[in-house]
Amino acid sequence: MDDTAVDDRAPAVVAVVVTRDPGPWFEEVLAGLAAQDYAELSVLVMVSGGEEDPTARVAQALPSAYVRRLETDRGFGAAVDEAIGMVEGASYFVLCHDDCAPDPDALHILVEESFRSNAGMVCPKMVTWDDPQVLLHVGLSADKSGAVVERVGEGEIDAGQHDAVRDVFVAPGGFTLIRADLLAELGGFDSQVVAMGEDLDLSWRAQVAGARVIVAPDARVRHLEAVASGLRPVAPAEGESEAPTLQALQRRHELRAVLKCYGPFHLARVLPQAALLAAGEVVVALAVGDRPRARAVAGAWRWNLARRKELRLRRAEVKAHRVFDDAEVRRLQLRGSARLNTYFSRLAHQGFDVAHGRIPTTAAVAADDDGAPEPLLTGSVGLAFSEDTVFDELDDLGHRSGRDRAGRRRRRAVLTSHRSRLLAAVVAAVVLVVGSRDLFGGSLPLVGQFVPMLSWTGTWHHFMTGWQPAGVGTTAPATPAFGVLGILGTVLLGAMGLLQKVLVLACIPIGAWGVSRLLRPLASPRARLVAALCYLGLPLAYDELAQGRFDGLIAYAAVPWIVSRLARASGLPPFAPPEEAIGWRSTLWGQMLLLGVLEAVAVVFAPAVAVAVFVCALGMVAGSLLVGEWRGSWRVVAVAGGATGVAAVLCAPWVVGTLLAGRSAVSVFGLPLSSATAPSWSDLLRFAVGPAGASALSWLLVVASLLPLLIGRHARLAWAGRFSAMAVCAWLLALAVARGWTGSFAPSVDVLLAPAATAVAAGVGLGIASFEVDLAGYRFGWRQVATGLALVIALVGLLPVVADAGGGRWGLAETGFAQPLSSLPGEGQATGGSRVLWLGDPRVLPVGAWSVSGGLAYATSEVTTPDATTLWAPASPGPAAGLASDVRLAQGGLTASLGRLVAPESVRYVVVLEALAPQIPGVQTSPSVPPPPGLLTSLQQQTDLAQVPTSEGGLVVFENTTRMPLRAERSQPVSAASAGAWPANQDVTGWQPVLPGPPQKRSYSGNVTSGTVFASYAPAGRWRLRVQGLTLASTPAFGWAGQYTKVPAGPATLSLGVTPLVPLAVAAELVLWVAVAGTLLGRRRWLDWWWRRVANRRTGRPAGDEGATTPDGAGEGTNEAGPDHERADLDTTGATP
Amino acid sequence: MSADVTRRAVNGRHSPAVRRLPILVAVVAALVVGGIVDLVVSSTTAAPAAAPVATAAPASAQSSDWYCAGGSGTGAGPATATLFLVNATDRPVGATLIVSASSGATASRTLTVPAFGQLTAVPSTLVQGPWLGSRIAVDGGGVTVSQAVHGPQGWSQAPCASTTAPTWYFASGSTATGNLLFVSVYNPAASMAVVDLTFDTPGGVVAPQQFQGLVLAPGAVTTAEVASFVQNQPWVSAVVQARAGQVVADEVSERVGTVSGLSLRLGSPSPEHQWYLARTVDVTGGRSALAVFNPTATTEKVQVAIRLPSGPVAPVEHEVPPATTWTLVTSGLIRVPPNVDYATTVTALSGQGVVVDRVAAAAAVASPPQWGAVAATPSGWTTAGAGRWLLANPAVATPPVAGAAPFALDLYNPTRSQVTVTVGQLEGGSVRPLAGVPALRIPAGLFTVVEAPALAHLGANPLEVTSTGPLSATLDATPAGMPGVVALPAIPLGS
Repeated sequence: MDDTAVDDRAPAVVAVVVTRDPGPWFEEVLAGLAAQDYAELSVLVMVSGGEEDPTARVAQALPSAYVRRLETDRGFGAAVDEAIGMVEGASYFVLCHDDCAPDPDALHILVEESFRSNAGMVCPKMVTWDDPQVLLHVGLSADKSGAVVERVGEGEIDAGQHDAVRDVFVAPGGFTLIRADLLAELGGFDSQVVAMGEDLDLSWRAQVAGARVIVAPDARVRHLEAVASGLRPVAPAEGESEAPTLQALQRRHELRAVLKCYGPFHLARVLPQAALLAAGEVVVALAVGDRPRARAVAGAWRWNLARRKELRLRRAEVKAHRVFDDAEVRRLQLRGSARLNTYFSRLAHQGFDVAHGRIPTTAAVAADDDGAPEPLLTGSVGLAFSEDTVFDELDDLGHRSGRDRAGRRRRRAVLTSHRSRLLAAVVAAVVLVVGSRDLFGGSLPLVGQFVPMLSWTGTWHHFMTGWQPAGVGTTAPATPAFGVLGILGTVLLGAMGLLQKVLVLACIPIGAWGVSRLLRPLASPRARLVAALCYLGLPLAYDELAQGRFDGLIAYAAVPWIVSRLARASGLPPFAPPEEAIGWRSTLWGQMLLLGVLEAVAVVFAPAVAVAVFVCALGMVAGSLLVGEWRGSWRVVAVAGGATGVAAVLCAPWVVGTLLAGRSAVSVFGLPLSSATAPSWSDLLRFAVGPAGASALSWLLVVASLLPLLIGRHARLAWAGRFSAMAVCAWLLALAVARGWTGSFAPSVDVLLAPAATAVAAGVGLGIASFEVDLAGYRFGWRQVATGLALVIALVGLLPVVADAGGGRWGLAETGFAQPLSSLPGEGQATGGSRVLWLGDPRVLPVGAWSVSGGLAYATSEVTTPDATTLWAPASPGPAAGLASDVRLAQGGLTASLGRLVAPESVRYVVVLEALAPQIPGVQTSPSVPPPPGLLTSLQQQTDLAQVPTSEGGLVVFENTTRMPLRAERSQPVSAASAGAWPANQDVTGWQPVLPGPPQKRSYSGNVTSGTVFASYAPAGRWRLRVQGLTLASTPAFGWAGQYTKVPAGPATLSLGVTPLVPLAVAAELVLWVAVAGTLLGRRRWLDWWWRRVANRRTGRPAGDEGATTPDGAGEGTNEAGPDHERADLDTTGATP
Repeated sequence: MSADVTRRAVNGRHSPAVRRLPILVAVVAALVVGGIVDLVVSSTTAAPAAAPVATAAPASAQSSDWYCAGGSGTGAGPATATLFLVNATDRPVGATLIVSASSGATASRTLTVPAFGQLTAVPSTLVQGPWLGSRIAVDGGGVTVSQAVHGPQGWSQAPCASTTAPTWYFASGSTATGNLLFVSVYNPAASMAVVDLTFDTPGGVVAPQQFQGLVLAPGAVTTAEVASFVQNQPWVSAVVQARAGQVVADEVSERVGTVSGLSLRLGSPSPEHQWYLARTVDVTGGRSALAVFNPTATTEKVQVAIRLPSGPVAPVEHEVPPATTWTLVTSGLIRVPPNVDYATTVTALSGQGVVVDRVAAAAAVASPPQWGAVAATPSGWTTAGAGRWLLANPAVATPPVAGAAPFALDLYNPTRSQVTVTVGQLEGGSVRPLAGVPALRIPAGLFTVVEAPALAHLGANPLEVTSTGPLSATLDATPAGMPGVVALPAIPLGS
């Protein structure tokens, strides 16, 4: 063989540099190319449009380079494609941006590596332009949906940790070596991809064509990223007036790559997942107000769908040169959804605002501040160096060996890695979803407070109209809950059924989230997760769900957040905000406003939450006194009081209406229970107030919550004491209410248990924190045993809920009372209407009720299947209080004619509920909640109440044989003697229905005959009868109703006269809500600015020194971001600040 | 960081600023105290006692109803009824008498019961029919209603019911040797009732097909003639069970032969644990017996305690199996001498209670009626209400039977403390003490009898008995072969 015949020249490489109006950095780029130690390099500069001709600049730096100018800017890919046709004989192309400056040996190394690894595409290590020590890219990864993911951390320092040649999925654009034959086979770049994503597309297609894509980190290139950093704006596409955002470009091109590069089978698998993820992302983005993201994601699909034909052609091209199937190509893709992983990771580690892009990531902030980010230390006895033990388990080579540096087998701590915690959270979510699976479809059964919602317009109307049909009618303003429901219903485009389910089911995770947030300054992520799981593991929420108790669910969701706010209000360590984070929200007034808004939202649905707020505050004070750290306690009480005041102002019309009810105002908090059926002390302690929690295992979580009192120290002990005192206060008050010791002041036991549940969950979390931090400080002894025991029983204590999840409904009945009640003959619209008198335990009635006696409540509705109209009763029953007196008469054997007594109230049916839900033999059983003994017997002994046979158990229905219609007429008026006395037989007989119409309306029309028209509505003075153009004045009947005497025959209209006072007050209330919401959610920096000025004026600092505020202007943001740092201080010093 | 603090942390001693013991003690103490208090309160919470089946509503009541069944509505019937309405208030009280016949006819009449007075009404004057059911709707409270029936075999008195119930029990009855037994069921409610009748006999439980699923429309009354279907049984205990609705049931027994008589008894809606008979006397040649019926599903241990004027005698105890009747012939007890008054207490010592009747028969030579049966007074009657009881006086202008008059007022104090009893008469719109009867102090466990001479001052006025404590009061009436044949228990006034 003739050695001289061997061509020892290096392969020819043509560097294609695409530029457009290059900036001052261009000379450095050209210099870098000129300095390459690779002999066979030619440079072709493609000037893609632009106003400046850089030929002179190129000639000066690189005289041998060729320059080709294109008239219009069609993007990087199009320019490269143009260049390919101009070059012959090249073995490689280097595709260069005009903002990438290679090191002198970069090209040399890339070509060498291409040969060595037989790679089709080789990319270098990219570093930042200004600081070559900071990594930009060492190749890129991508997941199945085309989401490109960095392989290096944000701002990661290059210490050689990535200096290994390896396959990557994406060779990042900027300086990419590609074999010329491969580029030709691929047909160059996709001309539709003008910027962002062209590298993904090319790399993907190259791999489909059988080429390797590798990174050669020894080759280094500085990259300015002029486009990505915004130095060079993207030009609008042809026919478009506005340039798309980079995010939009990235998303559309990622999707385009997916649509092009997958085969049919994988496309069918991946595309639905991608669509689902995109939909979820759009929803989340809209929810957090990130509209650009939502537009980008939605726009990507729109853009690609508009190019279906062209995409088909592109797919055919990819298919034509396919060598590897998708399974082979996907080996280099990341598993799962990279974007979803990033989202949850940021959510878990950097908080809500960072996850949603409201504020930059910690690293970005650090980079902006030109300082290193602070490490987040846990101080864990699990020997974790960082929060994520996955990092700690890596050896020097980056491998997970399972052994430490000394070669010993590493004991793996549970739930210390992000991944394991995420997995636990996902498992909990799956349990919740599985446990609720039967509730997702159909509508919720009519059980407890789960009544059908009004339409969104009906909700608004009910809220704004100053009249409610509850009882026999009242002008008391409706609860602002209707306003909240109206707003939410409007947002959901009137999907009120969906709204009801969302409200019901979302309470559970929201409550767990709140517990995690509560412990954020106190405990490690692991402890917070365990606390949240413990909160989910308590039977309280599922009992509320099974009983249809909306108020209990709302309290379950809200109380952890309320406790969290109270803890912050205390200013006690570690809840005290750092000095630099103090803003208006940290002031006493700010705390009051924040808690007040939270309290108001909860109170409108569950008024007893107002009591729970004080229980929490007083519990904290008592706990502070007992642990000997009472400084700041007064702030808790003050903030609780102030917040309640704020809530009262926000709900002013309703609150005023309630206060005007006098002594019966307390009934809004709840109704007295019967001591015979009320939960016992042990039931209360283990939250067994419903069908769930019957297992003795539910004791275990409560026992486990005592652990921090035994082994905790410092802040953990102090807060465990406060939480324990809070729980005890809640339990004791609940016991007092259950036993009837508080009289008519009987806040809902279900609501009162929420603080206790929060405290128990927090106690378990603090137990974990104490285990991590404090236990190591003790000698081995009983504490270690107790700790081990507590951890085990806490785990076992979760099992009952997991077991309950198998049912799929959390014990909520499948059939509600709507079914048996709908079979009752209704009045129909052609009649004068009637009412239903509901009797039973306050916990089972599907209507807002008032108390007859302990354990017996009463309410009315104009329909047999009640809806949300009567869900929340006004504090005072008004004239309907007479119904309670009548029932008491029957109970006491003082009447045998209850039907006659309730006839003026137009009671047609008396429905007594005896169980949570209908009992259907062989189909459905439901816990019995019987009314007081003797009630049914006394009703059965009434000679004018006929029992109506029902096929289902759990309810007893009587029909009143002497009823009067709601709107009736007869020739003779009611005698004046009936006022204030029991109605006589002759007063309730002979009435005929008149003025037909649907129930719960405010106007009825029809023909009347001459005589007397009776209207069973209060207040009678507000109802007017117009006959033949004349407005008749009513005279009293039965002391409260109205009758119109000497009515001429003819068409008549009975209507409610509305005074504008209540609607105006409600409108003002709405405006106030909007203003407060705007203050809290919108621009609030001016408040911080104002508060700083006030503070400076007090302290004598210069007026212009307003100090630093957090990026979002919220003091808590910084406080919440750095709790672990503060906790580390506490742990290491052992001091209590 | 202070070195001392660090050392304390390392040594395991907590910072003195945070105290552990007080909060631990407080939490544990609160949990324990809460549990103890709850336990104590729960154990002391007793279920409210059911009101007696015949109780006058308080005067403040809006309305009250009384229901009377068991009366026949034709002149030739076995038990023509007369109603006695006694008003214990100081104002006249209006009432409506609604009479339903078993034939379906119904009629009503408004009445006014005079203040502190008595009114007599005969239902058969409103509507005729084989059997009648009467409902008296009173416009208020303070009024009691009792019923007297008379027929060829004699006469009897019993309270009417102030309440309906789904179940009624009757302890005694006989269909032997030509005796007749009628169970009258009345549905005064607005709901339809469906009723089953079963009978416990020495031969076992009998449930005649004809008496199963009896449908009673609102206001309907029906009467079962038992002897045709439960034949020749010396003892028959009856159970009226409503599958649906609530009813009122009375039993009429007709004894024929040389010793004849008639008895009307209001059933008991539930078994009771203690029953009283204020006075029994076994006259020479006569006979008395207790029928103790255990309608429950568990064996009941029953104790019969007899109190003679000289002191108590050894009680008699017996275990009564489920659905059986124990007959104790008290006149056959050696420990009870003849012709001596005694009070009887029947106590169910276990289980869910029993139902007790007393059957009394005078000598055949005595004036008719010689035979009668009365329901014992359940303990609830002795304690109910405001310590006031009312007794109607059969000696009205047109008495149900010729010569009907009070014969003796039996007062029994079953408690362990002395009570003071006053006996008054409602006359002329007021209450005044019965002449010759001072306030009576009845020692614990003893009884006393207000004899006929004192009651002679009563005339046609009803009686009011007041007591400072529980009391069982019964009015014996004539004509009867001996005390106890025709007896009416006092009806309590509600508070």
